[in-house]
Amino acid sequence: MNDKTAGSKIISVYWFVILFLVAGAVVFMMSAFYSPKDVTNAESLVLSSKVAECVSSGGYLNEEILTDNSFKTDFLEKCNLNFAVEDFSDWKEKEQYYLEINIHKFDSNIPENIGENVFDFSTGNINLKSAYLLEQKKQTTGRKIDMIVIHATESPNLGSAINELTVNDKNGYKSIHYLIDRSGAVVPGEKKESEVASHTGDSSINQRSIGIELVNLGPNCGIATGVLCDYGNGEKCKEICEDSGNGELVKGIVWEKYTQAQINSLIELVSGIVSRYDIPVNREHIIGHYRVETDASIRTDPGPLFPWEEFMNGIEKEAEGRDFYVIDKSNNQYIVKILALVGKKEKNE
Amino acid sequence: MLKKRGKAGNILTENVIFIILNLVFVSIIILFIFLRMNDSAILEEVYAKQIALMADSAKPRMIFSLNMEEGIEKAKNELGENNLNDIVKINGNLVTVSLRKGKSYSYSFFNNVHVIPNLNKEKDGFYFTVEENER
Repeated sequence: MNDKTAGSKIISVYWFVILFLVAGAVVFMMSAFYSPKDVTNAESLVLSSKVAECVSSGGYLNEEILTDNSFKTDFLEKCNLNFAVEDFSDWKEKEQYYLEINIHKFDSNIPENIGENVFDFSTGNINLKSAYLLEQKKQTTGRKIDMIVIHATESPNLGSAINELTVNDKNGYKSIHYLIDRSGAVVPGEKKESEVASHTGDSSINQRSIGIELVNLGPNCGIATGVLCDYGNGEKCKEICEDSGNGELVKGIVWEKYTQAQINSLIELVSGIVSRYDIPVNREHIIGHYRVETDASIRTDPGPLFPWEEFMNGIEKEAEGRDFYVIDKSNNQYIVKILALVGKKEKNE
Repeated sequence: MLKKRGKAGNILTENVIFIILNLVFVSIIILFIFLRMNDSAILEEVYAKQIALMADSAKPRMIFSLNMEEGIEKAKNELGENNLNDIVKINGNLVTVSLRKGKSYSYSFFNNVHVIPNLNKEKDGFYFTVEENER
């Protein structure tokens, strides 16, 4: 009887321990879900855009920056910015912003084309820059990455794509960094960004690039049967393209269109990669797989239906205010580098 | 028989106490969830940051608006119908939102413009007029 009483008491203790754990989990989830998000990244982007608008317009450099010395002394006023917060004196001291602008001449003979510096300006809390550089170092990898290669899986679905990439070892290609499904879901591939993935037949390109596969049938859209479409249902390819209206005839071949969700996710993913590794936003550094293996009979992806213009404009818009190219009235090219950082600046009373 | 009755009584008391404690515990968790969902402090922070972000992106002669129906409803109870204009104050480049008596949340913006908050006619939000800063 005593054992039974003692036993029931112990069970009660365990029960309350479990209750406290559940309560802790509920408190944690509520705090995470019902907490306003940190908007400092969004503010940094807006600040970068404002500075970019001040420095250039329509792709042309605002030449006053190079000729008017007051731009260096009164840059914030010239660009209609105000970093001072007058109500709280301690904020004035801390300065919750950091802004750095460098304009270089474009020099094709130098790596990354960064030639002579013609304008530089910085203001604000330098500690924000240190914290930012530390964070960048954590996120980036040991290898130098300056390229992104876009692929199409040319298979019916995500599962078959993963199967082909990791098991079938098609043409010796085994791995990829990211896959994006038709729904827009981004799936990490077999390799991390720090690792080299064998996603093209050129090892030198693999060494310096990140590969991204888009789930898409490509030219297999009209095929009813065959190895690529024979995953227990030979009609799969035709069903996807004909019944859903996602196929489009181009030069006698039916290709599958990319979904808007895929393109949106791709823009977001690539914008992040471009930012992390400082990859120039142009078609020399962001390429389709067909550009690597130039024999068209081997590789055609991502295919003629890939919306390059929309994609590149999307990345440029996301990357607006970071590094970008401008020209002056004499057609001299410049590279503008902007670093705009915002720290926490809130007050509860 | 008497011994058996005593044992039965003890078991019943223990179980009742156990159930009551469980009910109290669950009630506290539900109350916490309810209060957290309807917390004015969170709304103050959300509104202040939204207004600051919009002010950052705005240009002179622009007007932008924000639906603050939920916050204004709470403020009516705390501050009264006549003080709704004071919910949002913008002093220089500092946005202050106050939905509770004696409490507020402030957030700054970097755009060098003068932003004037106004309660709209329906009293479910504010519209903000952006002017050039004369400073």
